[in-house]
Amino acid sequence: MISQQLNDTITRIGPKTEAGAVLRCYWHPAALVEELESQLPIPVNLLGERLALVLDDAGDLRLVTRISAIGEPAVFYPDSTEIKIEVTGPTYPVMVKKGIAFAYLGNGEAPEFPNFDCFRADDTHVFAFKGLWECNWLQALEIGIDPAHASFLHRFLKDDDQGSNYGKQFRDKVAQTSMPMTQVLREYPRPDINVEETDYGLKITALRHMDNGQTHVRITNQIFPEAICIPMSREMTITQWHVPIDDENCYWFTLFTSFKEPVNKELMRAQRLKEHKLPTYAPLKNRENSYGYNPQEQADETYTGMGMDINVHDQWAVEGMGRIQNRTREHLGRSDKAIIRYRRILRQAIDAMGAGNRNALPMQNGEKIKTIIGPLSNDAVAPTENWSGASHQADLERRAACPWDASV
Amino acid sequence: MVPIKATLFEDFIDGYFPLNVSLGHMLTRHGFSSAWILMRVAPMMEIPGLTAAEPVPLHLNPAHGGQVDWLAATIRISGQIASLSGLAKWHWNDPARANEKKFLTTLRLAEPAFLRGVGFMAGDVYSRSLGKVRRETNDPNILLLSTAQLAADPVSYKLKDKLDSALCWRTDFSQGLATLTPAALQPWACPYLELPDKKFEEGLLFRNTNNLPMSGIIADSLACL
Ligand SMILES: [Fe+2]
Repeated sequence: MISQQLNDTITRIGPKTEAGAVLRCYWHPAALVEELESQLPIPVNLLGERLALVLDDAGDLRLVTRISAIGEPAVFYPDSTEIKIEVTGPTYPVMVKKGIAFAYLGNGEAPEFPNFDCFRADDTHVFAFKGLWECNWLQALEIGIDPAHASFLHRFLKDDDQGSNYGKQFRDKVAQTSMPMTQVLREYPRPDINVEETDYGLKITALRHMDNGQTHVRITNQIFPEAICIPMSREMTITQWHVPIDDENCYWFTLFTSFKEPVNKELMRAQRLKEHKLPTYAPLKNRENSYGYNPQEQADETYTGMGMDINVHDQWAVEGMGRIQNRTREHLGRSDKAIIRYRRILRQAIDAMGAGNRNALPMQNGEKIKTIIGPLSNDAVAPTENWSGASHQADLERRAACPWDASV
Repeated sequence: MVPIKATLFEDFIDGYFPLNVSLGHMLTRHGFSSAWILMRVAPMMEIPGLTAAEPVPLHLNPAHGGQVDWLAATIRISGQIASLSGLAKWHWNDPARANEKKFLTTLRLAEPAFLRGVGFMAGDVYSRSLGKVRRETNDPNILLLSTAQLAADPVSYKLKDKLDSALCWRTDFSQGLATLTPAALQPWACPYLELPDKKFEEGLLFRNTNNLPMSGIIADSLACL
């Protein structure tokens, strides 16, 4: 339970808001590169600002202000011929990385990009996609740093054959074992959770102690301010930003990063296009059609009855809390440790910005940013007495087998 | 100056229980008899009519909420619960409670809270604020400093009238105890420095402050100023 005033402070991100000032110190995904293949300019609705991506006189991408009508829908996507530029409005730099056009909406110099795996992997090994969630960015982020929810929200009552699971979350076998990930999540629903503060945000370790003296170790990360980095399968990680469109809508932008084999981008894109509608990337399952809820499926197959795509489960959970979650009536518990630590960092960052001390924010300290690599993000099964060393070793082995420089 | 057994720690304490109960759980979990703790930005609540043994209701009323902006305290185990002594800054959502002077240690946190601190084991070294704590015979890292030693230390003189009961003090004695001189004592900012009318009683000296848990403690206490 927090006060309404505090809830407003940590969720609202428009120009001149306190959390907005913190977020504006970082690069944010603004559009997929595949969106740029249509005629420029294209609309971008980001951090409460109505913008458009254009090519400037030097031929570089730039984000400029566009003229918007009062009452324009939050996720408005006009045709390029209908976009009118506000020539006196703010403009912002853009940088393309791995299929995403990132924009910097802050004051002063933009920070360096950290050397995360998703940025240093070969282009062949990274695939980008996005999707719309109709809720505030913070609740979208907070579900991603709750390691316990996967055992409930993403519970599959049966473990299916692994053949058709390329590019899907939680459908692989665990580490070096023959145990499906779905079985681990289902049978061990109460992980011990450790949270450590790092240069980039938080390292979150979820330990599921199993019956045979073995522990399932899942390491995920919060990357300040609005991203997570989590394992997807033995082969791939997900780096996902929850980017505010405005206070009540956000896009998830994901970089799927593969360690050893190139990503099958065609297949991954086709899988996701089946679930989304262009040009807004709005999910086909949504509040209007009850997220495809099927009571028979809920009885036999999944916890939610909302299909096999875990993204839909998360979407339902976060949109179901309302456009901006009412945190004045929430009951956080011990499994919410990472959420509590995250809000603490966000509030410290808000205080630091208020005191004019931007350097106190994570990844705002100049040269040191480039030295941030990784982060370690994997699932492993290890002997309970040496879970830490064994988990680290498993990650090193995966990295060693990788054609791009994944050393840490 | 007496070398004592002390452990830097970070932990989450439960919400919803009375604060002194949650802190008691924490001391027991670590095997500490006492600790010096720092807590920041922890939502709290006090529900009228709810007795200590009763659980909080499912539906919370924000009018009963507030926040511990910071709390710096020594805590000692006392049966199942912890007794607290220290300073706190806090506020309630209810403006009628704006001038409240006493921090009730039976209030409840409104969610689990992260805290940092230094924990001590039971032993035979007398400390006014920490109870009897365990001596460290092997490679001491932390020293307990009491008024008697400090009176002889001119460097710290101007501080000693401003400090209340136990507090953390820092200095690095990287070359070991033999090289430690009063001039090397670098008092480090702590909420207690804000109280001009308090007397210094005890402090802690750290051999090495250049590590992650310690920098967290220092950053937190600077933020409490
Ligand atoms: Fe999820």
